[in-house]
Formats: sequence, structure tokens, C-alpha cells
Amino acid sequence: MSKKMIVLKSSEGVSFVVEEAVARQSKIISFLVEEFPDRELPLTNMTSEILRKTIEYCKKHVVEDDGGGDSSSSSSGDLKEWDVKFVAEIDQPRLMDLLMAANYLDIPSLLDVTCQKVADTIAACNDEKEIRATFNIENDFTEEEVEAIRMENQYPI
Amino acid sequence: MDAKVDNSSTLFKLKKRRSTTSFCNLLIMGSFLRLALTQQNRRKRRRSRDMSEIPLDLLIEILCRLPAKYLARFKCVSKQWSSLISSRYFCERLYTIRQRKRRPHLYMCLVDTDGQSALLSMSSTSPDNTCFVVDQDLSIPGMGGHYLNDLHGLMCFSMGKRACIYNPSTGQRLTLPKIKPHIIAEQGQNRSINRYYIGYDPVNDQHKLLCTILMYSDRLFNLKSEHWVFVLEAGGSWKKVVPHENYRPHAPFALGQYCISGSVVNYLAWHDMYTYAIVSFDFRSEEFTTIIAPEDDRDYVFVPALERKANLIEYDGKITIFEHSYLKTRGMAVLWVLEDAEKKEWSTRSLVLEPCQRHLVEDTELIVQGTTQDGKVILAPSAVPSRFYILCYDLQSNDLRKVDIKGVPPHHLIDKERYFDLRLIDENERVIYLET
Repeated sequence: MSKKMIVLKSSEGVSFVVEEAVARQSKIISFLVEEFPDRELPLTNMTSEILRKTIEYCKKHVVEDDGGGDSSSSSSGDLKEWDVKFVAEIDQPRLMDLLMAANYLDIPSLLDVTCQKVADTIAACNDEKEIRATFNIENDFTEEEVEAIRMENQYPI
Repeated sequence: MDAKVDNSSTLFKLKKRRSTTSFCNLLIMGSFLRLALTQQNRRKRRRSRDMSEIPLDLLIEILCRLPAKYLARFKCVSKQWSSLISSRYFCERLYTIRQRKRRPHLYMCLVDTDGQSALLSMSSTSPDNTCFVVDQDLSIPGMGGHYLNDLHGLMCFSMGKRACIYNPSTGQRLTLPKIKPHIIAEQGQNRSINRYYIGYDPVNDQHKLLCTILMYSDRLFNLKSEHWVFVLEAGGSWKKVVPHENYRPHAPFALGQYCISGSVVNYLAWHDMYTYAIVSFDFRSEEFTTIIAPEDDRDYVFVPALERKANLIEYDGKITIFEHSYLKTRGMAVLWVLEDAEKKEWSTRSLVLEPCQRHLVEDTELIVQGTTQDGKVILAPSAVPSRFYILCYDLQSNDLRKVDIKGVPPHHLIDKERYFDLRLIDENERVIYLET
């Protein structure tokens, strides 16, 4: 029995043919597939690179119901390990894009791992200056204000 | 081509709907949020994104996953981060996320001879809770006090002569004003450290703090006590509890545990060196009731109340005195179960340790450090041991088990520490937002 395939199109116009079960992990796509069956779905705010990554994630996480095929269903421990590796290989700006994509397509588990990875990156910074530099955040505090927050929440460094 | 347009507009509508949901969240979060960030930035595409392009609801999702200990550090990053971390929405979101990953937590307070305390958090590493490993050092400079007191995820400790309410999950802290006691110490009298209990009034949805101020001479002679209540809300202040006609001064047990049932906190206290009682304070009516503990009329050598090793536990859902004066020497413990508080009816039950478990108690003085949710009594060595452990005593099956505590940083193990306190939190703790 052949599996139902759907076509997703990136912002550059590149088409990706994906098994429906894989794509349906996105609640948005799931909804669209029902509303507009047999149509190509344009994802105009996702680059091919990010779309490819998202599909890679979904392929790994698809739950097989017929117990065969090339998409994998792994034990939760293996899957967790795979997730860690998956986000570890992505650089900072792309991670942000992937996080936004997970939010946009509404894929809760991908949103969770990407948010956690960003949180880990923040936590790994030595001080607030490093956090600002890493994430390109403007410092809108004066020295005194920072000092006041420090005094109020003394914490060991 | 038409199809494409169709799809795009549907996508856009959906996206808009989701943005509206986020928008509602933002409104809940408070007035400091600027709305400009959500939609435009989501649609704008650049080669690489930075933090300012992340919508606020996503930023909160990220911040909620940061280790609690450094939340204060993250507040220094920017005004936006600071307001988000201090918001009620953040606190509530944090609670939901934590609940999913809930494991029993053990908090340990270590006190050195200067009265400085360290607060460590430990989590269980195995499903049967046979070992706890230190996962966070939550200490704050200037933190003092011997006792850990907690309710709904809030803790109380002393900062000099003031009380400090601390939320270890969010790092939020509230230092309360000093109390000017009405009683004064006479010559030869000592003023002991204040005891605090956190309580909750479900009717007015208020968290309150009870403070007991004590003065006494040697062996509790000439005991004076006074009680103050602070409502934890913006603009709160200390109010003295008006004593009832038949009020008798009491001194809460130095190493005492407490049981909370509804709005009432129960704890053991001495009236004098021969008498002790279960004291109940209702945080709603702000009234005390006391029930004198029964005399031990068995034919042992008479032990004055002051020297009896007893503590308050919950047994079978009933307030119970767990007396372990003879645990070390005879492997025995006695339960005094308060069957009916109105009629002051008690029942007793004796427990004798299995011979093969006697070695666990023979060489150490133990103190009660609370009960687990499934009714096991937690016992801990009274002096800081070289290798930390606690004992879990299952009273129903009369089974004593050792639980190791690992990962205590070595600088906490030098012998200047002379006291420690533990609290096990194995229920779902609520994360309370402190109004400041």
C-alpha cells in the first residue's frame, strides 16, 4: 500500500515531498491537509534549509502504526539522545529560525527541544554581558540599575 | 496559482488566530509589554534572527527553562527580560512546566557557627527514592536561621533580625520589616531566635507568616512568648496576635516539625520543663488552641518533657506525637495518636525495630525531619555526619531504610557546621507569586 504524500514548498519555491503522517505532526499542516487535500502547501516564511531540518525532525518522530517502512519509531531514550544531537549540530541563528518554525507550524515537541537548547545556551554564558553579546540584545540598563537589581537579588557568581 | 493564493491566505488567517492567543497572554502579563514585537517581526525575514525578533510568548517559554538559581542574573540582561521574569504570568507558566517534570525534592539548610546558612536542593535519582543528589545550591549571602519552613513552594528564613520569604523556583525574595516586641527580656533572660510558620487562609486566599518571639531563663523558667502575624501582600505589616484569656506562654520545640491541615498549623511546644502540648494556630481566625500531651505512665525512668525526644508527625491522617527517646538504646518508638481533638482522646502504639535494623540507629542520635507523603517518618542524624544520609521509617510495615545524600559540596562538610535541617517536598508544590 502506497503512503499518501503531500508537497510542502519553501520560501525559495523548492518543493519537498513528505509522507502525510510525517507532516501531520504539525498541527497547522494537519489542519490544512484536511481543508485542502491534494494541494501543494506553500510555507512562505520558511527557508528550504529550515524546512529540511523540520522535516528531518518530523521523520524521526513519526509514530509508525503499521510497524514497517523507512520512517523510524525509536524508544523514548534513543529519541531523547537523538534530539540532543539534532539541536547540538545547529548554529545559533538557525536554531532561532527553527524555534520560530516550530512555533509557526505548531509542533510542540520541537518547540520544547529548541526552547530548551536556547535556554541551555543562555545558562552556559558566564554573565549578562556574554548573554547580550551572544543573542545581540541591547543593554537598556544604566550601571546603577544593574547594581540595584544585583543588590535586590544578591546571588553567588 | 489560485490554489496557492487560497492556501497562503488560510495560513495567514491561522497565524493571525494564534497571534491573537499570544496577544491575550501578553495582556495578562501586564502593562509593560510592547505589542510591536509580535506580528511584524514574525513576518519579517532576515538572514539571521536575534532575540528581539522572538515573540514574547516564546521568550517566556525559553526563560522558564532556565535554571532557577540564575534567574536573578538573567534579570540584569535587559529591561524586557527583567519585567518578564518578575511577572505573574512567568511565575504561573514556570509552575506548569515544573509540574510536568516533578520529582521529590529535598531541601537542606546547613548552619555554621556564625549563624550563616546554606540552602541546597536535592532531587531523587531513582524511582524508589533510595538516593538524593544535590542539584542546586540556592544559598543567598546573609541567609541565616536554623529552620526550614515551607508552604506551597515558599520558604522562610531569617536575614539578621528580619524574616525573609524566598521562592527558590523563581529566586523571588521578600524581606519583611523588623518586629518591635512588646515583651522585654528581664535580667538573666535570653531571647531565643524567632520561630516562623507559613500558613494559608483559603477563604481570603492569603498567605500569612506567624512569628513567635520567646524569652526565658534557664530551663524555660519565667517563659514569655508573643506572636505576630504578617499577611503576605503589598503593603503588609506585622500585627500582634491578641492572646486569649486562657493563653499560656509556650516555646515551640527547638527542632520541631509542624503539620499543616487546611488553615491550621500544628506544632509541639513546651509550657515549662515538665509539660508540653500540641499547639494549633488557625491562620484564618488567628487563634491558638492547645492540647497538653499525655504523660508517659509506663514504668520507665521519669523523663522531663524538656528531655523527651518527641516530634509531631501525621499518622493515618491524624496528628501524632512520635516519641523516640528509646530508639537508640532499646530500638523502640511510641506513637501518641490524637484520635479526637475535641474530647482530647489519645491512642498509643509501640514500635520495636527489627533486630537486623537496630544497627542503623545504635550509634547516632536521631531527630525527626518530617514525613513523606506516603507516611514514612524521615529521621536524620542530629550532628552533621561525614557522609550524609537520612533514614525513612515506614511505620505501617515497621521497616527502616537508609537513603544516601550525595554531592554535598566539600566546603559544606568542614566541621564548623553544627546543625542542619531538611524538608522533603514530594507533593506538587505550587509556585506562588509574591506581591511586592
